[in-house]
Amino acid sequence: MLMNGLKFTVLEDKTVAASAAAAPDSFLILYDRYFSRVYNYVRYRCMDAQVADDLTAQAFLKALTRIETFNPDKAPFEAWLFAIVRNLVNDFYRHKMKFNLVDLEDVENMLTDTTRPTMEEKAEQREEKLRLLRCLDTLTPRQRDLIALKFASEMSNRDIAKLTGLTEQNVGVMLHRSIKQLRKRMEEEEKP
Amino acid sequence: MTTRESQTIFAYLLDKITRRSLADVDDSLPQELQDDLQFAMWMNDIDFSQDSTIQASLRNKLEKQAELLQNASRLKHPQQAKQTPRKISLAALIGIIVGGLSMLTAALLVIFRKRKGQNGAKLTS
Repeated sequence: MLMNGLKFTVLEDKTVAASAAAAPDSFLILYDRYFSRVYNYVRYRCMDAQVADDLTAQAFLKALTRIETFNPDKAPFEAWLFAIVRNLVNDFYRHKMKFNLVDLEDVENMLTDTTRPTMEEKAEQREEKLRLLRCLDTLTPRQRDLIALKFASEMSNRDIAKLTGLTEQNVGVMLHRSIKQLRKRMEEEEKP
Repeated sequence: MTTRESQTIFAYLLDKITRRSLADVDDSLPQELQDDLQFAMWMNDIDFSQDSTIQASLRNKLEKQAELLQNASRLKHPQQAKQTPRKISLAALIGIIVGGLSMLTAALLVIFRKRKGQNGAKLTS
């Protein structure tokens, strides 16, 4: 990669992960690289920002302590990482469903809470995020998972298929249907 | 355009959108498909990670955890070295056996000669 006339070599994930097994502080490189994608994935699936924070933290801590189990011959690092994140979110919902459902009314409070840095963002952006989260909640858990994997983890349909156990074609079809459905819901929400 | 064709094109372009290698949607595509792709592009620009308050604190926590793990592994390895018995190579083992045997043979030879000498002395006397 050429940047400002200097040549930088971006270390591959598998190289960093391998060195993190021996020297755990190298894991921070992976953390910096993946934080946004992991957080976005969790947020796409969780309405509650606090829960998203907790699950993201748990996911990275789990990944760090299990870095020795990562085998680059079996799957790329992102697939390994997102498998951990996905399992954590699924476990959270399995546990949550036993006791109570997510309080949807909290969503608006989370996004308009004056103590959170989201206040610094423009009101329009906040409203868009709020609408998207409301519409995402109308999708089935599987549709939501696929949308989260696609937009947050940036995986190809093939990789998503491997992770979810669906066929590549199924992933493509379900994603298209979900996006269509989501777009229609968003349009309906926009109508006064 | 058949539904299957439309889905294949959508899947291909969605991959490009999520990898941020598609700036504009082709005007020649059917309107419905264009709308879906525009929507996907809009969604791809939404970044929830800006809302997170934990990024820096989690990094610190991971840094400390990594340090602990590193120290733990440093402590673990010398202990393991003490606990595990040293392995002897096959060549060394053969060497020890051969050495032992030759020493035994030499000792027997010395004893045998000594006795023979003593017997000879007795006979001459």
